Amino acid sequence: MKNSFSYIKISGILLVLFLFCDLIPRSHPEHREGSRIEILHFVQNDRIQPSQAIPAAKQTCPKGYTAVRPQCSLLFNLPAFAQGINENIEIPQDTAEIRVPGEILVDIRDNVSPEDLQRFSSIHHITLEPNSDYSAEDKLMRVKVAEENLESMVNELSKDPMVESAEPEYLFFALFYPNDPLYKYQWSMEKTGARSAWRDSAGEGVIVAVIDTGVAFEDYKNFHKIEDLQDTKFVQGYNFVSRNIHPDDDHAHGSHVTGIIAQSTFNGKGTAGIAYKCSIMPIKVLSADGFGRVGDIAEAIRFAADHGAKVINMSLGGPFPSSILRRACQYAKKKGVIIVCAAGNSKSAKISYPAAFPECIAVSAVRYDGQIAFYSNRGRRVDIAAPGGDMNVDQNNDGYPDGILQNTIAIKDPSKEGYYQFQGTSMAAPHVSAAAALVESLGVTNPDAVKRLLKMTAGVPAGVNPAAGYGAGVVDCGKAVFFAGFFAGLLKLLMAVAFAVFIARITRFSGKKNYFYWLQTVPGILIGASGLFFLPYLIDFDMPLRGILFRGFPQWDIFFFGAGSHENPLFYSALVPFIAAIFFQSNRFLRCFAAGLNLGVGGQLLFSLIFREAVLKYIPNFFFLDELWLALNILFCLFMAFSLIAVPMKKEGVI
Amino acid sequence: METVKGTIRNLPLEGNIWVLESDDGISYQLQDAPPGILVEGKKVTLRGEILRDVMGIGMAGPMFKVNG
Repeated sequence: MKNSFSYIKISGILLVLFLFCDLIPRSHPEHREGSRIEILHFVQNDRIQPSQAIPAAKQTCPKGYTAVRPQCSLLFNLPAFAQGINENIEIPQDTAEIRVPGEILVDIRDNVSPEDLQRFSSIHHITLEPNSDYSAEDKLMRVKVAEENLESMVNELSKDPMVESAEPEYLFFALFYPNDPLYKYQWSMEKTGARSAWRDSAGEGVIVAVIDTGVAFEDYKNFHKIEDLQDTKFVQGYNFVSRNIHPDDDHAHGSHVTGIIAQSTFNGKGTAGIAYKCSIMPIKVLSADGFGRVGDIAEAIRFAADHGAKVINMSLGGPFPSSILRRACQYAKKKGVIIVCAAGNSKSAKISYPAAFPECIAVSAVRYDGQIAFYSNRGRRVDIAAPGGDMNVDQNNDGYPDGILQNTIAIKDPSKEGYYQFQGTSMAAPHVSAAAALVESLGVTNPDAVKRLLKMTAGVPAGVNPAAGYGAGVVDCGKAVFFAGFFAGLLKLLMAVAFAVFIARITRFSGKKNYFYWLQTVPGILIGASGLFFLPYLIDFDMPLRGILFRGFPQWDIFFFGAGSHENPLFYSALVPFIAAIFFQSNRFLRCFAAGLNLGVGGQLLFSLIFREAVLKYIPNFFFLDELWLALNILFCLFMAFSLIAVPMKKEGVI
Repeated sequence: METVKGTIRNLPLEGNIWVLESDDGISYQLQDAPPGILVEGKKVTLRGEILRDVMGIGMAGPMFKVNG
């Protein structure tokens, strides 16, 4: 019993630790205004084509970020991580580029009097400015000098006895801050918490079908692949307008929508996309003038569902319902596909179809301040809102209208490309599609569960009337990913631990001397239930194997085969733990490991039974057959854990 | 065939869309509009049909296929 309590204690301590560390990602980081640091690399601004070209002189630190000095410890700066400040990210540019030109940060000794400080300034012919409102007392000062004198000035200041340290000022990027130079104009990424989400998911293994005017994804005839889709993954799509396998974009809309979902990110070019590691299935149903037939759209939905898409984005619509379209949506949803649709742009409470179908997630558009955008449809039938932009205002004061900026072709001219600002509910829907891809990648693949999760984690910005009619609020990728990854992982682990406690109780296999045996089950429990789900929140590294390391065994199929192959009942069963139990009998450690695996998978299955985050394939959906499957497998896992622990222990006389 | 009287409007939505704002307040999205009529604020009377089986990126009212 005592050992059982240790488990509970450890879990409790873990939980408290994480809550205290304030690890919950904040999608709307507190703005640290007053920063005077400049962004140095600012390339390709001649290619930006919103309403006007961005003046090169207007290079200010993006709001919400500031330069931070290197901090020595990872683990003891957790609250700072949560605010999105960290220096330990890979910045592919050459480090010289991120040094702030002509700026030196000087730490003056605390015992230096203000008079001495004045004398100090006049000796060195410099003007000292406090680094921030709070640093006057700490005497952390900033000095501006000519770039060519910087090095000699640093040396000169370092030698002064009043100076503790003097060093060139560096701009450190905030956590997972993309090196895509135009990211700072993508306010919608910050509003939807994309950076928080990237800790744990970027949509790996999920196929998102973009049913639209096509995508500039290949070099073919007059079409070309646009520069900021170069690293984006694509799977075979279809062109339902010309009936061929080249769904290239001849309008610009589809490529823009695709950019929001999966623009190549961390590639040092252009803009970023939210689920930048997902695969896009380009499907063209709308012609160059932006119109398409309902029959083609319905066929496209079925095509996507049949070819492994887990999310469908439809930034299109019309005022009339269609039973053919409805049936296609029902078909796709039944196959486990999440359908996200734009609510429409007619400023009315009557949202357009297919968004109005209950099988779809209807997305309205908001602007920077979270108010509903002037053009957006609204009302009771809207599920969720997302940034769609409002180009009549510049609420973030970046000098540009608040449109959504992405790389796309010139309108109706596929030979040219650029960075364009668009506005519309079409731009809002892909934010939600991308959020769906992010949580799908973590194993939440049941369309109902995804909808529930996205609505549950959506937030209503302060000062906005929640009755504004935009559904559950503004989508929050960071929070959704936190719940699908960390929180779900913690619950699965706790359930597995509860099973371990249960087995310990019924076998009376507890007490101090057996503590070690139970400890040996921990690797198995972690692999079976949750993986190292907490690691993404402790380290700042985009782990290539995170699809395995940070997930429990039943989610590994997403890493190997993609989310389209997820929900296989064999993964959601006692099969693998059973095989482990058969083969791992030889020694005590392996036996404990196998017992842990059984307990872990049991915990995962119990989680699925309660939350239904995944719907099992191939099991007919009647008479609670899938629930029965999960329940029986949980019992089998428990039985095996029991036999692996209790029976041999009894033989050995331990119990 | 229907006749709609109204004003041509250019909306900066979804890239760029043209609608016919009828005098009774309904906004129609124009398909196959003859060249020359797409001028912001132009008063026109158009003959055509409302397409119930067509959808599009504009999502700002029914599609109106212009026939004259």
